[in-house]
Amino acid sequence: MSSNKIVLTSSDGESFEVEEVVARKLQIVGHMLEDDCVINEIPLQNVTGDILSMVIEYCKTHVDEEESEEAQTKLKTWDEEFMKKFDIKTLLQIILAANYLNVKGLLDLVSQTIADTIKDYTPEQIREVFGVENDYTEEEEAEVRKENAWAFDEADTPKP
Amino acid sequence: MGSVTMCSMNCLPDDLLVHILSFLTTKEAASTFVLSKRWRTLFALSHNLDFDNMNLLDTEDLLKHSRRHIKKSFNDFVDHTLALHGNNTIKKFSLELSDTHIDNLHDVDRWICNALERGVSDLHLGIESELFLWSGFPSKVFTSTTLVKLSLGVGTRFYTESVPSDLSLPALKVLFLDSIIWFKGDLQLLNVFLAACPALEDLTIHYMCGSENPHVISSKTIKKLSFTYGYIYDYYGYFSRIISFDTPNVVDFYYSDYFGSESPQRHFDSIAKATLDLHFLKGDKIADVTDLISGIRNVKTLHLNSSTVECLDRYTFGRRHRFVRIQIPLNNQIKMLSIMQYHGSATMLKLISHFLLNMECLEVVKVYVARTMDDPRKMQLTEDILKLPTASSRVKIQVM
Repeated sequence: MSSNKIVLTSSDGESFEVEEVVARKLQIVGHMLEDDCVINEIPLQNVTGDILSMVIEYCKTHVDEEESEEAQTKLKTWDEEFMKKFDIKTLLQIILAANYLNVKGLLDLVSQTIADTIKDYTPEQIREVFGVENDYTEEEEAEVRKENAWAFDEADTPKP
Repeated sequence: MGSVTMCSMNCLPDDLLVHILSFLTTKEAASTFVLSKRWRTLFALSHNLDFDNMNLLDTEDLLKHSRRHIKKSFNDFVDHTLALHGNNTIKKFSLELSDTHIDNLHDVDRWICNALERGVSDLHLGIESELFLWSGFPSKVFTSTTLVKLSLGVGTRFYTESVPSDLSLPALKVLFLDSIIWFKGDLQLLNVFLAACPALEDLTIHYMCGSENPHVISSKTIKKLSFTYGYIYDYYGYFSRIISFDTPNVVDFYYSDYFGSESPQRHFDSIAKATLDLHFLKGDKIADVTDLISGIRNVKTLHLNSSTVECLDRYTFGRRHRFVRIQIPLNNQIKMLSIMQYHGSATMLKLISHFLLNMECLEVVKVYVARTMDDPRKMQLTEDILKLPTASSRVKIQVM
């Protein structure tokens, strides 16, 4: 395949020139290219330049999905290191971007990372870190706890 | 650079939150219901649901509540989750139940049927019941048109009555059978089963026990076959496993066994990759491994794991330090050979030399030395191996 270049432009006007194979990792771009193969500049409305640059970094690294075990292990290590770079708020932005741009691998990677955080945290910590407000009344909360009694460890229950 | 705007979990649409929760077990995901009203039902909408009461009996809860109370609480949770899930599709459904009371079996049936009705494609069932002869599954499991992967675990017992006559799994590609007990005469059911899976590509049989008679496992469609014999005496105390394979389209073969038993007969025409994981039984006589290597004539990638290397090492050592040539078939196709856990014994070095001299197509040899080895020793061994003459002119040898 020739190394045709595509320019991706973010919502805040930042432009990135990438090879077509990389751009196609963003399925939203892949579909546009299939519909009209002469496009070489694509505006992406819902993603800012700083987030788009991270998505592109991921796609560049994952452009050849080799099957060999060694290549897989190397990619996995890269993924882990890549995720460590971001705080939760950035991760939430990346997952939104991966969802909008339709990059399945990145979507799953960030989902796994956020899921691991949820697993390790108490509900109080999750609320604080992810900015979730508890809108249950005391009675309501007691009732839902009863519904899911089996799944809810006693240890997680706040002391009265 | 644009600035990162404030973003909280509230920015994410429901389907994205559900996607995140699908990376957790259902129990872990369920603990989020308490966060806020929005989260109350999200966990149950995941496409992957798994329920496991295996740890119930050793939890601290048992001190506080009766076993019956905990089981009821578990059943309520499964029912509640499935009710919240509504008519949404289930992709993956897993049920691990221990010590299931006879009165609860209809609940189990109902849960499994519920998942099947929602088009489940990946189903795992490991259900131990109080009834030893209980076959467990509703017959719908064996006539599903949506199942792509089926895994049956500990506690499963196959017998003629448990498999319906209209058995047919047209979409099934992956079948995993773990510790299934087969009684005398019932093993032929496995072939009835395999014949009813025309799309099957990947078969794993883990810890097989209970087969008394010689038996052939046959399938024309399987590409990947993994077979592990456990060191298990079955309920009758016999330990026999005279099994042969008639699976001509297997490309990737993993075989784990103990020496001292008869090597199985194999019919593998298209095999390309083989991993051998061989073990010694304590006090075992030295068995004939020469045939085991020669049986995999068309293999292109041969992987000898650490235990196998130890076996081969001891095999030659066992014959009073005299090196015994292991037969390597003429015109073998092996291009890639990997050897794990090399300790640097003289017999093993001879064996590697023997491989290098008789594998004419070799392109890559990877020798992984034991982790405990120090650097000078490793350098010496690397030098020794690189000096060995080879039959193939383009072989690359890596010592790692």
